Amino acid sequence: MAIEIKEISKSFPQNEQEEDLSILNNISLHIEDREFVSLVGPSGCGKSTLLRILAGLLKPDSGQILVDGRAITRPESSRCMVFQDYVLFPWMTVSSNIALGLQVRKKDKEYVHKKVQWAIELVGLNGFEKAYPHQLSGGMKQRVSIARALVMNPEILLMDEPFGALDSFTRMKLQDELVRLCGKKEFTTVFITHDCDEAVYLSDRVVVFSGSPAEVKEILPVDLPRPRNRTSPEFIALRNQILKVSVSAAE
Amino acid sequence: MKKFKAVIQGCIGILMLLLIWTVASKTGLFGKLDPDTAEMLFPDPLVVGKRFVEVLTSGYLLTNIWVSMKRVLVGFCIAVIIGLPIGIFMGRSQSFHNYINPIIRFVSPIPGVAWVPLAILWFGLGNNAAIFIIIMGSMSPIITNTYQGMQNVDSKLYQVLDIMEANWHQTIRYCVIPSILPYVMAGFKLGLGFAWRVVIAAEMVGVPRGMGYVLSVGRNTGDTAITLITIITLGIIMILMEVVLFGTLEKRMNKWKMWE
Ligand SMILES: Nc1ncnc2c1ncn2[C@@H]1O[C@H](COP(=O)(O)OP(=O)(O)OP(=O)(O)O)[C@@H](O)[C@H]1O
Ligand SMILES: [Mg+2]
Repeated sequence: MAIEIKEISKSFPQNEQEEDLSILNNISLHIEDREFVSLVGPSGCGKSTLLRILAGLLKPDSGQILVDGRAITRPESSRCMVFQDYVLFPWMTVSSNIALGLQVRKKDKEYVHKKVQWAIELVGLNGFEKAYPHQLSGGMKQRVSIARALVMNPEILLMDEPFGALDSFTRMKLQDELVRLCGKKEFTTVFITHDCDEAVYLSDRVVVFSGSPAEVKEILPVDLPRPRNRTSPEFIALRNQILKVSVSAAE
Repeated sequence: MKKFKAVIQGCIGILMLLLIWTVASKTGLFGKLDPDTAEMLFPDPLVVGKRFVEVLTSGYLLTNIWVSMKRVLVGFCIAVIIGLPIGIFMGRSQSFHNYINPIIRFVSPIPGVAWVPLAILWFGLGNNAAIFIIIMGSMSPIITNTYQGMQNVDSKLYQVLDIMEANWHQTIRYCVIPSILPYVMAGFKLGLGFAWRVVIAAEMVGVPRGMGYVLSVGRNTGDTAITLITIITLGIIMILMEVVLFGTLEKRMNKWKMWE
């Protein structure tokens, strides 16, 4: 689904201050159907806030977001979110966590079972169906969280620094899996990251935000064939460019 | 092995207590009482034990335990049915919290027994008075603890369920209840403790039958043994309740390892 972000503004009340602090200022951005877009920018500039508005969890002060021409008013199961800290239900096993969304949507048992099996296979969690989240490593927890989103057949996948808490080896492995999953072009992905390397490796376009209040500083297309080679000169040049733009955006 | 040792040591502690009791009883509280008074006020464990078998087989003790227990269970269940939803709703709605919080803050420090005279005036000397007092005594810890649990629910779990378009009862079932369970358990424990305390007090000052009533009859007839028996039985009931009701649930919760 194509996403049209139209002049979104958002401010938050500050403690003991009269004036609200403006976080997002007139953000406009167009995201193509089945595109993979990364958002980078200084910490605290409002990327997560924008993603929460996209999810429908937060209302903007002004402006609107259209998904295939229809305005977002509330959260919908067709727009799934993957959080940095996984947010799994500690009292549910891996398969129950993955099945939860389908159960909530009252899908029939056989379908749920098949779909969960499919997702577990897809993210490589075979053998851990009965494990509880506290028994899993960070990388495995994030796989559960991704599987939980994928079983919903999302049209839009929103990811907020999903690999930010992982070690670099696990992160690269999950990045490869994400490339494989998104290679099928079944959904649109909006991906927040701090890691320029990650942004170039995964994205069709990288959007750089500047801070306080956030504005779109620059949009850089990544026209490299997949799978991408992190050590190729074009890759490194692009990564350095994004790094330069985001450093200057942070100032 | 460690556990075995702890059990043995616990048993030794209890035996020591019984020994001191026996010696104190036989010597008339180390010579401070004359033998006749000592026998009446301070019977030794053997005498108490014999009497225990007596009241147990005659059914006197069991009937009265059952009377108190029924009052506690009925009162406590009503307190849960009222208190749990109030606590949950306070956590979900700030304005409901604002309405109800001052009342709870005001009522909860009032000792449960303070309601006894009022309850007897309103309901007469019977079950209803006892149940009313139990509700008043045990509801506020249930509400307070449930509300505390609600404040500790991970708000991101709500977001996940919102995105799944869960309705309110799915949210309660999949997120709220499991999240607040340890707090609710703590509230239940406190509430049940209060319930027993106030029911004994109520039965001692006039509500007929029950364990408090046995205690007060014991006092009026100078029957020290039966009062000691009742006290010991109360202790045993409390321990059993702890183990049977809460032990199993807590084991299960530990499996999830979220409350460390
Ligand atoms: N509910 C809220 N109430 C008040 N202020 C908020 C709220 N949510 C976010 N903010 C503020 O908005 C700003 C942007 O937050 P946001 O989480 O969107 O940043 P971010 O770009 O995702 O940062 P990071 O990269 O560190 O995750 C921060 O200064 C934060 O303090
Ligand atoms: Mg963020």
